[in-house]
This record gives sequence, C-alpha cells and structure tokens, in this order.
Amino acid sequence: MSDAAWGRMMAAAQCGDKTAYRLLLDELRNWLARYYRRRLPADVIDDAVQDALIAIHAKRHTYAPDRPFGPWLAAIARYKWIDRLRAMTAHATVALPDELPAYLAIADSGDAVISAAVLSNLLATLKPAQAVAIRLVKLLGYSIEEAAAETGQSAALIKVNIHRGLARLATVVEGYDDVE
Amino acid sequence: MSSSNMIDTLVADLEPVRPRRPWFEALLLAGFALAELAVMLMIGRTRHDLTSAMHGAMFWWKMASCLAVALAGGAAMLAALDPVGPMRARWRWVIGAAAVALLAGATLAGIAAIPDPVMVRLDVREGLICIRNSLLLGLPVALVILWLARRAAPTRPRATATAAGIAATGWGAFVFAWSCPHADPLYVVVWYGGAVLVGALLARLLLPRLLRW
Repeated sequence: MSDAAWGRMMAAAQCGDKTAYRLLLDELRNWLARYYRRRLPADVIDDAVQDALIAIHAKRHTYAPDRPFGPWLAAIARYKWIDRLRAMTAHATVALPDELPAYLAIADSGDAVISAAVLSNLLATLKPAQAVAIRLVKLLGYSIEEAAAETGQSAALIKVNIHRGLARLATVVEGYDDVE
Repeated sequence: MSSSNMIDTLVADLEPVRPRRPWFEALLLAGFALAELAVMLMIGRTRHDLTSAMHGAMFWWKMASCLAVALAGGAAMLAALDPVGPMRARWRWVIGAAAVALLAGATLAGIAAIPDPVMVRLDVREGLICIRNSLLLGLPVALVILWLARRAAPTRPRATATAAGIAATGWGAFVFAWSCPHADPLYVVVWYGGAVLVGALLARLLLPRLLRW
C-alpha cells in the first residue's frame, strides 16, 4: 500500500468515512507492529502499537491532506517509541517474572534474530555496562539476579544501569531526525 | 484489550475533524498578542517621554530586539507544533551563535560608549522589576501558546517548550518596553536578555509535562 493511498484514506477519515478509517487502521496496525518489533522488546510491542493507534486517532486532525502521510506516521510512531523507552525506565526496577526468556517465546526464529535490531544498534551508543544490562534484562529476558551473575555487576547496579541507559536512549532518540 | 477491539473502538469514535491550519494558528496568536499590547498601551502608563524617546535610535533598537526575539521564538514554536517539525539542529546553533555575537558586540559598544560605573548603570532594583514585568506580561501569550500546543502534536516537547518560553517572554518584554525608560544597551541586554533567559528556562522546566500526549 502506498503512502499516497494512506494519505487519501486519512483524508477520507477526517471527513468521517468509517470504512476508509477501519481499512487504514488495520494496515497501520501491521506497519506499527513491524516498526516496534525492530525497536522494542517483544513484551511491550502490543502496548506500543495500541498507544500509537490511540495517538493517531487523537491527533488525526494534525495530518495535512496535501502532504505525504509517511513522515507524519513515522513522527507519531517515533514519539510513542520514545514514550515507551521512558516507560521502560519507570519499570526498570521491577524484576521480570521467571518465565521463558522473550527470545525463546518467539516462535519464528527469523523474527528473534532481527527483533529490536534498531534498539540493539542504539545500545552501542551507551556505556558498555549500561548496554549489557539492558540487553540481558530487557531484550533477552534475564532476571535482574541472572544478569548480575552473568556480568559481575551487583543487582542494584544492574537496575541503575538499566534506568540510566534507557533514559539516555530516550534522549538520544529524541535528538535524532530518524533512527534506522 | 486486543488491537482489533481497539480499532473497533476507535472507528466507532470517529468524528469528522477539520485538519489543522498552521496559518490560522499563527494569525490567532498574533491577533491575541497585538490585542494584549493594545490593552496595555491604553490602560498602562507608557513612559512619559515616549514621544521624544521615539526620536532616538536606542528606543528602536530595544523595540526591534524584543520583537525579533518574540518572532523568532514564535516561528520556532509554531514549526515545532507540527509532528513532522523541522529539526535543522545546525541552523539553530548558527542562529544562536549569531545572536550571542550581536548581543556581545552591542554590549561591549554600549559599555564603551557610556563611562558611568557598571553597577549604577545596571540599576539592579529596577532591573529585577523589569524581569518580573516581562515574565508577567508574557503570561497571557504563554497560555494561548499552551492551548495551541495541546491541540497540536509537538513531537519534541523540550524544544517546543523552550521556543514557547522565548516567544512569550520576548513578547512580554516588547510590551513592557513601551513603559520602561531605560535605554542603556548594557541595561537592556542584561535585564531584557535575562528575562528571556529566565522565561525560556521556566518554560523548559514546567511545560514539557503539559505538552505530553
């Protein structure tokens, strides 16, 4: 589906066309799921997609029909991505329950390899201790204690490093034009 | 809630909306700001020597500087209200550096031109009143900006907030300047510049949480 078609559907939705709107949201849901799979841990993707859909709904009047739809969509998706990174810092001190690590829970192994690829690349901009803490706990599903044992950092330090690292990431992302 | 249910809810909630019109918002803001100025000129006390001061270059330099700051801040703020707002970080630095250089030059020239002791010229007591008045007079514009911003979709809350603070305080300073008799460039740069700086900092601290969506 092309950018221009989405733009026309949104323009129709702005006039109250519910059929066009439903088609559009269905397609945007898939696009958003792909977008966040590359940028967030598996367990928060659904929430991020729904947040973004609500934001698109609430801010649909800010789309100008005479302009391309893609950049508008990307700007909103990115804004909600930063929001999500911030939200992850708020929960960074809560240890994950003991269950299958997220990378094992994903059936499609191809997905697991590319999942959160953008986020993984971004981790390289952090201090190594912060990057490894986020990678283990947030992307690979280790508990705080397991990550502590793995890295030799104390459990408290793992939490601090996750918190600071994610806060730093959110700031970094906010400053970029776009991160691919 | 599954995302299918979510989509059902959103579709059911769909009402026709009018696409945002940036030019209309700019006109609204400008109209409101001018109305505030008109009210202040009518009820406020303008400086008693306004007519004679208007013959001097200093008066116009002060007015033009405040207005330029307000317009630059306003333009940056309006641009930031668009979710696809332009970034142009390098240009921001260039403009900022140019402004600092101009201000520094004007200050040095001003300091050299008038031989009085610096502390006498700064007149701290009046200067603080000047900061307070500029901030207070910027408040109405700041509220209109906040209202506009919450209707729009700023994706860079901190940049939007800073620009809003500069725009509002710059305009507050412009309105106040009609009743302020000081024309010493040192005084103007320190206290008017200080007011804009304080306004920008306050906005950056307080506004971002109000701009979240």
